Amino acid sequence: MVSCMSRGIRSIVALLCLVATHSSAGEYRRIASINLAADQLLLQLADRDRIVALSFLAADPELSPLSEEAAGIPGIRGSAEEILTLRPDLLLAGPHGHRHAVEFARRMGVAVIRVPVANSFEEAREILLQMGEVLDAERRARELVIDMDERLRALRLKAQAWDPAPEALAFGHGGYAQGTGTMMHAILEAAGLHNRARDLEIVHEKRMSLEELLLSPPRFLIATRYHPDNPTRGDQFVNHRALRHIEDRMHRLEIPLATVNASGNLSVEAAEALHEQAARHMP
Amino acid sequence: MSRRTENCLVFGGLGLLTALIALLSICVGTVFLSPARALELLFAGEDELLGVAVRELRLPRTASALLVGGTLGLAGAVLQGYTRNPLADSGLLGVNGGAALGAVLMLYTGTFAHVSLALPLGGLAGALAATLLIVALTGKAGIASLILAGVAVSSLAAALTSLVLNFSPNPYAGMEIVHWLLGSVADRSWDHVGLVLPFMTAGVFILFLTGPGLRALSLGEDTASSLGFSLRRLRWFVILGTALAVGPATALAGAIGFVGLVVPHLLRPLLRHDPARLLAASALGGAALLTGADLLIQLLPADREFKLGVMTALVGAPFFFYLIFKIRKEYP
Amino acid sequence: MSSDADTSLLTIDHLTVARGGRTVLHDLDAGVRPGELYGVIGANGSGKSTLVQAVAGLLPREAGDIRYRGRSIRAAHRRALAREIAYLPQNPVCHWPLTVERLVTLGRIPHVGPWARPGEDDIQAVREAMAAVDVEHLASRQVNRLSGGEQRRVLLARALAGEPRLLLADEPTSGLDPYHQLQLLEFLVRRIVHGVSVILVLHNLTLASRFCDRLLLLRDGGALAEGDSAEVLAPDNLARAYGVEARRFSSDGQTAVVPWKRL
Repeated sequence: MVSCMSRGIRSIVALLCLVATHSSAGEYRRIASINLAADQLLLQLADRDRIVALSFLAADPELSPLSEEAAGIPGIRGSAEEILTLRPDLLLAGPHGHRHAVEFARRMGVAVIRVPVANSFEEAREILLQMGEVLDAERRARELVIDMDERLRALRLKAQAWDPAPEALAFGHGGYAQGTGTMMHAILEAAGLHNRARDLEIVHEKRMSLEELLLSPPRFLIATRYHPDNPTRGDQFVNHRALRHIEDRMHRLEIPLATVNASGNLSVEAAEALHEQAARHMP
Repeated sequence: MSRRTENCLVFGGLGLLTALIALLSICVGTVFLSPARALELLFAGEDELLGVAVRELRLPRTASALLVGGTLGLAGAVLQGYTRNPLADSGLLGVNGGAALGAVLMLYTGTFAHVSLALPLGGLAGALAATLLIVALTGKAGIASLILAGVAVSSLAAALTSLVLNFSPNPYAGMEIVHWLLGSVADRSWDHVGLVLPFMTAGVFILFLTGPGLRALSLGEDTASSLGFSLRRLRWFVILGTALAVGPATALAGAIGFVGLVVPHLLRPLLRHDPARLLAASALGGAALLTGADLLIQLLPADREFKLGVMTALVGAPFFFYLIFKIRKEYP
Repeated sequence: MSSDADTSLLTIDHLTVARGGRTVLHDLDAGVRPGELYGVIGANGSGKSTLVQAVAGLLPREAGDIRYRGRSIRAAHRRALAREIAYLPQNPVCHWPLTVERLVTLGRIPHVGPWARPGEDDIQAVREAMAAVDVEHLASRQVNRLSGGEQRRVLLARALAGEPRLLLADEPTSGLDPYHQLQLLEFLVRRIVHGVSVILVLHNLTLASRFCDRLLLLRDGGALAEGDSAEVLAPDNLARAYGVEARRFSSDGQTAVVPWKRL
């Protein structure tokens, strides 16, 4: 598992270095992002006047942890036309999608970086540092990393009291159990919880049978939720009537989707919130 | 063989098969149970978790499969009898697609969060619209135009479903709905079953009422009419019954195709091609087939859940090819 | 031209029927007496099938009335009427490969009702109907496996099984060879003896002349002539109705009417 993760980090480093050396002519002045995770990085690392646009999701408080900071910056959907009008000198995109817009931007001579998804705090740290380099904000990036590491260390100290670590299972959208290799797994472990999915050898995410959950419930069940007035079918899994029978054995914790998805270093907030909620049920 | 013994054999056999498959399906899960133990657990106390699993997870799942399969089999038999066309099926005619569209509308506008009845009602409305459209498009038309109309209605429903998903505020909607459309009865609760049951009961009842009319329709519309049947009433019964039965079934289990095509076909010779007796037999057969398919899915050592609609399509599509081949030979 | 109401089984009174926006029958008067084989003849499109379908209650009327035993069929109960009048359409079909016996039993529906099982009476009636057209030996065969002539007889047996007082048969002989044409008409004549009246749509003038008691000759949706076969089949009538010159030949005291040349 560890070797797999470090390989992941190495590839991230390689990717970022490639782009960074490509266009180090000077500081980027007009930066646009069409990806929610990149939005967060940009908002943390770059001054506001350098940001010409963010993804349209950046201002959504349910999805974007820095939605307040994003207010007032134009939100775009990532079409070629938008890019043509904005004429950014750097475009940040997600690891997949927006293929045509990205190709178009490259043809226009815009530097493009596909920002990888952080599936652990180690990856979040690497991405922050690399992006700091790209955006000429190395110092700011280092500060953020130090802050994240300190908070993680603090959490680890607090969680030491819990021995053995209480078991937890987290379900993402669609009712999929979150296994190793996901940010949710990292959040659980950072919060001092033991992810049951690791014992079940769930890598990434997997549909779990409700029966399995019912017959051996973990101490905590974590459900992430999208808009409360816009439920998805995945919610029906964790809200199944049969689970009422184990309510006294399995506590439900809820963390907002914004602090899990596409949040990188900001996910440490989710871990802190989770630890706090879990602590209320611990002796 | 007398008619009575024949009936006993066919319906007794189908009933027994269905009961057996249903029993097996409550024995299968994370923990395998003997049939005796499963039955005993049905009546176990609240604190026996395995009992809770059987009563509130396995039983509603089995009930959903029985209900949906029975409904689809019955609707297929009615549609084939009404159109006198062995290729008619609620899936091929776009009724399932229409129902899915209705349900998706309710799901992703969030309406169903406030009114839980919205989901079956959405399915019902979608199925009704699709059925009306098909009837309006085809009238007395033959096989080719019926299937064409079905393709047209299905495509329209699929396009509108995509449109709804496009406008959905939830970025995960697309992925979820793709999975849901593949059809499944996993993790259904009694709440889900209870919501659709009244509609489906009404629909099934109305569909059964069409039996004698369908039997008379074997001789064509004019003769059926001269035998004292009102074709107008029969048509409305078919439309309403199909919509009431198939719409909520789709809302419960997603779009599951081919059950209504295959089951009446397999059973028709056993009932000497009587369109009326075929109805009850197809309902039983459909229930057995879908519950059996779901049982198979649970037994398959699949890492990801194998979807029910995929399973029925894997069996149904080759069967459809075979039917086309057969019909091509019969009507060169 | 119409028969007296008291002697008439079926009275067609100033009947006008439109189909697809076109008036097919216009102000038609006719009458069928009990126990007669009543032939309806006329050129293509003259309204023969429409008349029979209107009597069977399958078409809406624009104007006029159809009275069965003095009562308008519009006022009659659907099922009650179905017990009295049986309809055998032109080119009758059976969409599913039913066995002959089951198919013939369908003719009992107006008596049995939609939900009950056929009783002893019904089974007896089905047997008699099959015997009447000589298809008893085919009882357990599937209809789709029979020859054209056999299928026609089976479908006639279906119509007879309802023990109707009035049988409407729309060109039952079309597509049959001479042997089976004669056989079918003989079966119909035999039913007359059993008190059934038959309205028969025909194209074959010789069969009409030889078997029908009375004829109705239609032209453009109206009655050109109605009455005894010999009168109706007068050369002048045939010339006006069909635009042909017909020749007559006599044999065994019966008359064959053969269309000879176009006019």
